[in-house]
Amino acid sequence: MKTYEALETLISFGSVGCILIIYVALIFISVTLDRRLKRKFESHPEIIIQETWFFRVVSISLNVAIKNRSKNDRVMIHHYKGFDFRSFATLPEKIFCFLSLYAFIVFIIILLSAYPLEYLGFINLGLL
Amino acid sequence: MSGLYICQNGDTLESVCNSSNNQNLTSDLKSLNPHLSPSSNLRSGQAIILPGKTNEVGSASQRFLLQSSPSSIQNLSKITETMTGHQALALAEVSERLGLRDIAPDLNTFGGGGLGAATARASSFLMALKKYDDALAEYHGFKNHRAAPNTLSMAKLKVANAFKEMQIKFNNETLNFFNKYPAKMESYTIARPGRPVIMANRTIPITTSSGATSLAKFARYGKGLGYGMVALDGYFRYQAVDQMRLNGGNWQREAWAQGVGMLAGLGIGAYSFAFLLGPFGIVLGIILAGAVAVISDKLIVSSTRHIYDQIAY
Repeated sequence: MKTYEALETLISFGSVGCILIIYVALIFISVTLDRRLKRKFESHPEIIIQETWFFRVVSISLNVAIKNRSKNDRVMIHHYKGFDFRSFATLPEKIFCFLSLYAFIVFIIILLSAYPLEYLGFINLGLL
Repeated sequence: MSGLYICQNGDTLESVCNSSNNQNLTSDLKSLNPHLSPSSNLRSGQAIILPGKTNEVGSASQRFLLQSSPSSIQNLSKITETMTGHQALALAEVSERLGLRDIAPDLNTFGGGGLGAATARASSFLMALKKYDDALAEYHGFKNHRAAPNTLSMAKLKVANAFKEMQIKFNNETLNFFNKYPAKMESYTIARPGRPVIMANRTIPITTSSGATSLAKFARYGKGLGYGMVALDGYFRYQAVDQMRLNGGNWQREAWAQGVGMLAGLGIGAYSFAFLLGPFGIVLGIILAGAVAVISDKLIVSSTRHIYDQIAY
């Protein structure tokens, strides 16, 4: 079977690029939304802030991107008591939250397609 | 039933006693925890043995404290912050049954390798999950192609049956735990002035010595949920690079690939864990996140090597 170099390049740059996008988005969220939320939650004693830092930022970005997650999710309701993250976030913050979620989804799609492609012999990245 | 309370910062033994509903708790607590002074502040993560309802001595809890090192208790404190004490003990029991302890030395990337290997042991449950997923996909396929109502209702029934089967398989995993520890933790509820905290969240019910043993083991390797695993992961990756250098290979390329792999593994592990937490629950969430982290780690490391080759040559 012929190995397609362009496909290899696409998959490798795509996967690493997605990770890069996720990290850039999470860093942006941590310096903007996370800080504002911390100040906001100081006046809400019933809300338990998640630890560790990284896990909290990921949770916040998912809460903004997935509507009503903090209301419907039994883990999130324990921490954030149904707090409306999406209306609290500003437009750039929302954009970065969605960006990180979509980059993760695209990464999973690349992941799921890379292994069969390697198995069929279209690419040779040394996965198997 | 006796229990273990993991302290938060600023707790004193007196404040724990005063704010409890149980009037007899004060004397029992002091007799069970003679090493703690009543007025001084307790350290965050320090464990207090709570008395049982029938005034029995918390021997299982004492056995747990004897078996655990201070670092294990710190791990447990971190874990109970993320999940409740009940869930921590359930996870300890379930992971012991899946044999995670035996493969803990292989843990890699946010608890990835070991937990990924555990998926093979939990295969009957994962197969049930796959069956449910397939049934759901079939149902949506029929729905999108406007199938006849009879076909649609049959597909719906299939989805319901698959869901039931998945529930049974998961319940089997946790049945043993719930038989041992019925939820009777309301007596330990504490309401604090200003910041109501349910003490049951941080209280771990320990009734049997086997439960104490599995919790002690879990506390030792359960740091997979915290910073310790990152250090261990880093060590494994350092070894891979060092091995490459000793063999005369291109170790710079390996170091680059493993570095990016570690960063990506952390991100993807945490992201999938947070993503999966809701619908699947904590136990399956960790196992699936581990599996995702393992296969994504391979892809990222290989991809980075490829990118390095393309850029360098």
